Parts: sequence; structure tokens; C-alpha cells
Amino acid sequence: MDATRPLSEIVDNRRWRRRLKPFPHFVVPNLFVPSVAEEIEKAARKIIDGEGMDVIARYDASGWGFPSDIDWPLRLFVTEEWCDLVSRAVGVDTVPYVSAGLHHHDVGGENGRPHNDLNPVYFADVDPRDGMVSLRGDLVDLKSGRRLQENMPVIRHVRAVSILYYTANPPWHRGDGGQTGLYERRSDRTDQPAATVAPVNNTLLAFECTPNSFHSFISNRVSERNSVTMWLYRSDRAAVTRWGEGTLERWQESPPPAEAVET
Amino acid sequence: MKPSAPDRKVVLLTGGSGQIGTAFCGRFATTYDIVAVRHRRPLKVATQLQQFVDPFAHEAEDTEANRVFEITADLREDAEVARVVEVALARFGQIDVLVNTIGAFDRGTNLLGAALSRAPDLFTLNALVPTAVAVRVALDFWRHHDLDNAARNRVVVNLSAAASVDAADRTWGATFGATKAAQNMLSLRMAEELRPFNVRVVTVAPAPVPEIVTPARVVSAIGSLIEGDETGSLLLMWDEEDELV
Repeated sequence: MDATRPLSEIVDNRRWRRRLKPFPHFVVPNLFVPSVAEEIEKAARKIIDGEGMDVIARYDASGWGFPSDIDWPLRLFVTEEWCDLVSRAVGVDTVPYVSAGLHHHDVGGENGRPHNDLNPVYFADVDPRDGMVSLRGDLVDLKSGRRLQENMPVIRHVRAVSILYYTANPPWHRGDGGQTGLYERRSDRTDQPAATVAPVNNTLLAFECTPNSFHSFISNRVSERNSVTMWLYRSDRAAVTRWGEGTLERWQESPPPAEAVET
Repeated sequence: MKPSAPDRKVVLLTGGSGQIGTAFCGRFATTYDIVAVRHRRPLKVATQLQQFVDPFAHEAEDTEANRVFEITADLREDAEVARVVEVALARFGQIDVLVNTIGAFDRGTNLLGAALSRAPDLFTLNALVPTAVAVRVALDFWRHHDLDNAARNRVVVNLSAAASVDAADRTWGATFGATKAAQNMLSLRMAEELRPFNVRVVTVAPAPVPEIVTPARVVSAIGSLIEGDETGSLLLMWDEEDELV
């Protein structure tokens, strides 16, 4: 893929469907032109089949975070142009910080639990690359804010937009499972969603992270399930102003030491 | 309840997410108040539950004027048929037009193959469900409003297929034509039974869509039948000409 090609030339579907229930979300099949979708799939496949995937704690899945120097085609997802496009469509003012990675569920992956993604995340406040600062797990612990490099400035932001792009999946059929379920309430059963989004390759799911954006992985009974999973962010102040400090989700690990946090 | 504008017809559309249903909504959403029923496949038009956005244009494309009212239902269930009619009446206060585009096919199957095993489903979706919806609207609303029915030129338009009269058309599988022939006969019967209530029943039977007849042409024909005065008629649509029988 040509890194200089404008986004308007590689986004194939210009009619993004915004569903309003159970909470507003975009579902966009055939997102990229086929040649780009194929390149993304090849790049994702190579990583999934490699040895770099890590087990995700408290989640029956493995993941691979995009390194800050990630190359095309996956770099597309952390460009300022792409992040701006999605945040504008979703209608959220975001800061130029992004986290992205690949998520993989082996066949038979267990149901997740409905959750809203409204989590605070700690970034190393480094110089942006092409306008965006990526998550640097080698410099700062994203959940606690603990510095992993001395004197590293740390900043806390809050997830504002969740984005899933399904790729490197076998053809999906009804009954296969592996969808993303969307829910009215946190207490809803994972296998009784209000709506589902099937993991059909080259399909985008995007929504604003709110106290009510409950979603979950639904067990994949037939095929592996793969996606690019990423988040855009609000400033900590904007998130607290909009939602209230008490609504922000806390990671289950220990809270960060106060002096480690610069908001 | 949001009453319809007095001169604006309320259309109950089954099969709203199919190609004819989609084309109908695209063509007439600004003309009629459309209640579009869909099952698993989402509608491809703006509704009270979904919008469409060009991410590069920064604006939703829909307006209140071209939004249809969406209902999700499995019309094979009697209770769902009753619920759809009840919701449509509660929302708009009336149903002026029923457009039945719901249907199914079993392309490429033979009687000596698997066609018979799917035939009950096809008969249900192609013949019985459209009839059941018409019966429910008639029992719950039209039979009590014969004068209004005439004044508002109320009508049922059923989507059949040319395969219902053309055994050589094998596009949609071995039993499809038979199911649509059954629908034709049920439509004729329905036309007789609804005539006393001043409700018309007409049927559109196009050659394969979109291979021979475009969805736009079918939808245009449906529009003409809605505004026409025929009843008990079958409009056959061949490659170039239409034939009203």
C-alpha cells in the first residue's frame, strides 16, 4: 500500500451506517478498497501466526500492541488522518493519543462480559509521530501510570472511541459465534445481546465510550476471531467533566501512586 | 402517536431490506410514510434507528423527510404479524397501502435434489405470509373503514414473479414459480374478498430482477399501481414491455 495515498482514496464505503440502539455505533462493511483490505489482512495474519502475541489478562484472548514505529499497512490505523476521520464521524473531540493492536481469539474462546471501555489510560507524553502519540508500554505502565523509564513525563487520558476492524477471519456464517455483542445493561447475559456485529473481514465497528456503551466478545464456536482493536482518547479533564470521575472504569490492578500522574 | 399528514399515504412494506424494498424506500420515502418491516438483514435506508453518514462530508445524509419507520419482525409468526400491524396503526393511525415484497428463493435446486425440503419455507414466505399480513390489516383496520378506503384508494400490492406464469424461467429454483403462482391465486381471491371494503389488490410479476428488469422499473410500476384503480390485476413485466392481465 502506498503510504502517501490519501484516505479518501482507500476508504471504499462512504455510507457509514450509524445504528442508535442499544447505544449509538457505526457498522461499516467493505470499509477499505479490496487491495488495502487484503494488505491489512496479510500483515495481520503474519503477526497472528508469529510468536509475538501475548495473553491478555482476565480475557480469553491474545493481543499484540502496535509498536510506535509500526509500518504500513497497519500504521494506517494510528495516523492522524484516520483517527480524525473516525472521531469526527463518531462526534467526539479527541486528543492526539492512540492505542491500537491486534486481538486474537482461538476457537472456543470464552464469552467476555459486557463492559463499557470507559477506562483511563496512562501515556508516556513523548513527541508525536505524524501527529499522534502511541501507547508506549516500554516507558509507562498503561494501567497504573508507573514510570518504566526515569523522569518520563506521564499523562492520563480516558478512552473516548472504541474501534474494531475485523480482519484475517475465515468466512463467517450465522451460528459461528465470534460476534461483538452490544447490550442495554452491564448485567445483561453475554449470549443475549440487544444487537450483534459479525466479524466479517473489512468491517468497522466504532462507538463512543460512554457509561452505557456495553459490549462484549461472544464465544467463537467455529472459527478463530481476529481484529484490529484500537481506542481514541479524551483528555482526563474532558472525560471527568462529561461523565464524572465516579463513572470512569478502574483497572483491577493497584491504583497508581499519586506522584506518577500528571494530568 | 404521530398522525400522518392528511394527504400523505401510509405504506406498510414487508421485505424492507430486500432489493425491491430498498429501492421502494429510496424512491418513495419522501412521498409516503413508510413502515418498513425487516427480519435479520438491516435496512439500507435511514430510519428512526439508523442514519447514514459520509465520514468525509461530516453530515448525516438523512432528514426527517426521507426517514422510514423500521420494525424488526419474523412475519412467519402470527403474533409478529399482529404486532407489526398494531405498531403501524399506533404510530400513524392508518394503513393505506400494503406492499408485500417479502419473499425467498432457492436458486439452482431441482426437485430431484433438495428443492422439496425447502419448499414449505418458500411457500410460507412467498404466498402465505403476504396473505397473512393483508388479512391482518383487513381484519384490524380496513373492514371498519370502507368509506375511507375508497377515498384514500387503499390497496395491496403483492410482488410476484414472471416465473409464476413462465415455466421456462428457471432462475430462482424448482419450486419458486409454484410458490409465486400460489401467491397470484391468493391475490385474486383477496381482491374478491376486499372489494366490498373498497380495498384493491394488485400483483406485480417481473422477469428476474435485476438481471432482466431493474429494481427501479419494478418500483416505478408499484408506484403506478398504488395510484391507479385496477384490482384483481397481474402486471407482468418482461424484458422490455409490461403486460396487464
